[in-house]
Amino acid sequence: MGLHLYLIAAAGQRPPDGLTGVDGVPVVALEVDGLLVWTTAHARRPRPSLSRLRSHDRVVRVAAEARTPLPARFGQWFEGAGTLSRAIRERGDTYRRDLSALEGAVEFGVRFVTSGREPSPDGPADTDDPRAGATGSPTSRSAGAGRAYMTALARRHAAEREDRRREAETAARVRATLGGLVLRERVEPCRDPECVARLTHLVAGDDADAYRAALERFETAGGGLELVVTGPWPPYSFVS
Amino acid sequence: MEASRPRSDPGLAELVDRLLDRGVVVKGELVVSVADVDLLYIGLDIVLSSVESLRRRIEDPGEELAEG
Repeated sequence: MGLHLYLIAAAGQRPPDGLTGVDGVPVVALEVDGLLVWTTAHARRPRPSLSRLRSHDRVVRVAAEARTPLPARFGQWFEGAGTLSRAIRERGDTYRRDLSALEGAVEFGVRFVTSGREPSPDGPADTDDPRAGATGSPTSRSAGAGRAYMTALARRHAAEREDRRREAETAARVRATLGGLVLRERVEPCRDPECVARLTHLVAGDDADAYRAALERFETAGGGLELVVTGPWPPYSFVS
Repeated sequence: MEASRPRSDPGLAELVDRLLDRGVVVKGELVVSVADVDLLYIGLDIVLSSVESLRRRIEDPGEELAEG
């Protein structure tokens, strides 16, 4: 049997009776140098699936209701308690410091989107790509194809510059609106053409309502942006 | 006429991001970027997943995604 890792918690923070995790297996805490590590035992490593990701997150959220833990990335598997204990001990001081720093904090994801935006060119079309000439027709290596390639490339670079400018501008505006409500921020890459900026914020749990209200003010203030907010999450994005 | 594709659940995509791409890593882990799109997480003991691949499966339920 091996151990699937959910989180690292402070001393004394044991899982409630009856708590189950991935595949319905009871969650067990392993004590390592004053830290408690929440795990479940499995014959084989749990592979990622939606239900297992949800189960993992649910365990982390149950822990977070009492005290902010350090959520673990899904997929960490240990041959046994000895292996896990050694790994935890190696960075025990860092985990204790992070637990203290993140106590009471939650994170939110905010995606700023605009409707009706034309997708950015994602590169030259295949027929304009000189690389296609290696296997395509001789005409694809013509000067015209080369010019089309360079034009498409220039358009793409211009669009990327504009994307970065809008992202920075949006992030600056939202920072001004949120003021001191944000403890830490991560700027995440956008993954769709409607996205202007994507941020992850660490916020004190007591400030969560004020944070959401400030984001609503930002949205209603105009600027043509809609906000997609998720959270509060345990601070997955702000652990070492 | 092709039916419009429903938007993916942003919360679900964020869940996948957080659990596969963030969180404390106790064991050493190698992160490989492929064409700046796919991130393969290859743990020392064979953690293997792809955030983008999993996200695509969520957005297109026709693709295989084990439910447990």
